[in-house]
Amino acid sequence: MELADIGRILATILSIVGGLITAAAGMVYAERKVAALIQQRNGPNRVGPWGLLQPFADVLKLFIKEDIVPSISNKFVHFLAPVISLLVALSAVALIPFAHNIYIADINIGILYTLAITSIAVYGITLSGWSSNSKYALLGGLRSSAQMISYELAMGLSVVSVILLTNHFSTKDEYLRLSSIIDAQTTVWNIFRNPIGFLIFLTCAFAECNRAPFDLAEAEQELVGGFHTEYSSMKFGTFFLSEYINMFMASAITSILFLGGYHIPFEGLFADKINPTLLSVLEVMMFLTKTSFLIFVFIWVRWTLPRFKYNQLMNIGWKVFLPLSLLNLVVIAAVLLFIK
Amino acid sequence: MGIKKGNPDERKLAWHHKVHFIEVFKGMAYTFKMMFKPSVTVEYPEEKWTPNDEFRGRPVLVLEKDKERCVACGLCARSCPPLAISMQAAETDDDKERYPLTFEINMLRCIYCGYCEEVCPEEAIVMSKDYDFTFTNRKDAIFDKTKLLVKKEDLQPRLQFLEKKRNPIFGKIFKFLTVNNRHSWKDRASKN
Repeated sequence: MELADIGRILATILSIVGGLITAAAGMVYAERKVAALIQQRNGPNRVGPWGLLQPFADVLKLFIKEDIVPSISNKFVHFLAPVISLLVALSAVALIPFAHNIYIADINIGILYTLAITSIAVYGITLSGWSSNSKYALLGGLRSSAQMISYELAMGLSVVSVILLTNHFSTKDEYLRLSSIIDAQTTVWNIFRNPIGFLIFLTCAFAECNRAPFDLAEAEQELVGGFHTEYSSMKFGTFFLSEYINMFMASAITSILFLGGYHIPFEGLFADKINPTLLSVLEVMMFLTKTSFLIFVFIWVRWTLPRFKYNQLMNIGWKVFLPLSLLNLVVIAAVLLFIK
Repeated sequence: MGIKKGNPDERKLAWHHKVHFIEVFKGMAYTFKMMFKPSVTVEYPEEKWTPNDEFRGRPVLVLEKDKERCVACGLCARSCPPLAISMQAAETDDDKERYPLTFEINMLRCIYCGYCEEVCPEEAIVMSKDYDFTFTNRKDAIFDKTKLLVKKEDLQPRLQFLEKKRNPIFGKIFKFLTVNNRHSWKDRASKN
């Protein structure tokens, strides 16, 4: 590998990670502002113009706070848990293609890697719950792991249905690659081919991100703060950051699987005529538009729906989504077989 | 002998409720609609809320023609539940014969119940609309006559409100002696 290549990759990594952490600040602001709009409030408006600097003030406050570690906790694991959370959240971003030529890596088992990495995120939460030596934290961690298991299945099955579609429509051979999944959607987006799969995937993504209405792991009203009850200062900030990066990840993966990723509608008409750099920029903007719309949906759902009860959560996961996604998979397979 | 499933008190849901998604979309449409409604927030320090006439703010003494209406009868001090009011009466050459030499309300004690206003025969102490005042030590919290006296013109809405609403049944049942009652401010007002 040339030195220039390494430099280029490093620059991409730095800009993407840096951009992502800034975007997380933006998401925090968006979350509070959308919540305020929905509840007919004003939201943050004190720090900077329209309160735009509020997230930075929050981060500063978290930095200045005292870092308290419970005296009877397992200190090493207590320290490790937020690190795992953030590390996993950031390493999943490695595969996100922002444009046809802007990505950190494009490996041939892309979607499998993404699924695998996002499932590791539960370790951060469960370990933090266990190591804090607090009943609330432990309950939050346990809930999170149970929730993750029951929603991973339905999520995986809806991904399989997307891969079947990719296998049929893509011009490329390696249909686990994220770029070939996007390639398969040049004519029609997967959301129109596979709407049930989209709904199931999005709902499971809410559960995977521990977002409302499935935020049982940190249910403030019953578990104080759930898994992060015993965390303060920047360790809490790390959990907060990784939650928002996970949200971005889930939105990005959903937009890649179902909304055509960086693909611009009617791209074939003008793709050859314009400057390739301009095309990349347009693609990045398209991708970010789709992703931010999905992030908005995440926030919108959070401020609309109340939290599910634990038994309802399990009922939906095992009794509704699992059979439904299996049925959806079989129907899609049969239809594709029929088309061939 | 089957195991009873579910909670008997739980609401029975129709099929379109059980599917969740339809109701979820309805809810999301509602919250989306709410996003475009104007905010109801009052940005307090910059933007102040003007209370209605019913509002019971800090109690003040009515200042009529540069003299307090108060005749220092002491009813307000007697009726004050937290004993916030203290006064000392003195004599004057005016028509009303008595006036408060000192009149102090301890605003740390005041509970804004409005009994003083209700019991006052002269409508000399009324609840104002003033609600944002603060003090940094206990001495400042004791408001004396310089702080309590407010011009009658500024309290007009509250006085009109009281005239309309205060003790309506009481006045209807008993006929007050109106002639030769020179202690009543109403009588004094009719003379002037």
